[in-house]
Amino acid sequence: MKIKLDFVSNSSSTSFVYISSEELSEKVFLEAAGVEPDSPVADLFLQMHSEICGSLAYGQKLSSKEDVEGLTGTYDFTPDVIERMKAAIERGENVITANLSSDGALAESVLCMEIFQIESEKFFINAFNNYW
Amino acid sequence: MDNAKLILPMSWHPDRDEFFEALRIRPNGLGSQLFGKVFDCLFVHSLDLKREYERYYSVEYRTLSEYIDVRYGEIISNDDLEAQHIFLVTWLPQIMDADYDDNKLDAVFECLAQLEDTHLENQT
Repeated sequence: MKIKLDFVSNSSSTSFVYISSEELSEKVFLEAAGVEPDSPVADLFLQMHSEICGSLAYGQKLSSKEDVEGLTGTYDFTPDVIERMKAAIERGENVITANLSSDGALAESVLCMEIFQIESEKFFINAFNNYW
Repeated sequence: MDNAKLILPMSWHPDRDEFFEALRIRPNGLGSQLFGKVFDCLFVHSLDLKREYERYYSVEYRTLSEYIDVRYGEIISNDDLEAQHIFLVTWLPQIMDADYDDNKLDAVFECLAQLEDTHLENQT
């Protein structure tokens, strides 16, 4: 670990939503992120996959449209994403909200501070809340 | 005096597609989103000192070396002065931050070195 001096930071956490019928595999995540397995930076994205899965393990699974309705007005998710979450619940897919921290290792910190959305045939992640 | 994070002499002409290809990243994904910022900080938002000197400072300073030394306090080797571009980079995104153990600074530099070598081989 390196210690940075003369540095002040406000740590924070941001929310994201994961929608899928299955668990997120490394292969599927790399494919969706557009990173080849033999990329010289693939390890960073594998760490990101690990951080996302770790966050999801402690996340909140939304089981009903009412659960999703509770997010309206919280500014965590846009109206489009909220509608997408409701539709996913109707289809029987898993809808899980979780958090990322800026205090974590590089992979988690980058994800925390990046506004991003990943859409593939197998899963959907939205982290538009991640604005600083 | 600009706050220089690093000085990057390159003869390879920056090309975003070639950069992504070297990193084995496809366009339009999270990978290209994050490393697109790396490309921007290194080659879009940076200052090409060689071009700046040739355009504006070649009368005021006798040589490019003198211009970089006096203006930015950096000594550049003769080999590096021969590069087509000398990029002055003033900021780096978090994934290139040397304060993080897992930063991608070295990985990106290795890719740039490969691109440079390929470019120079194609020139001969």
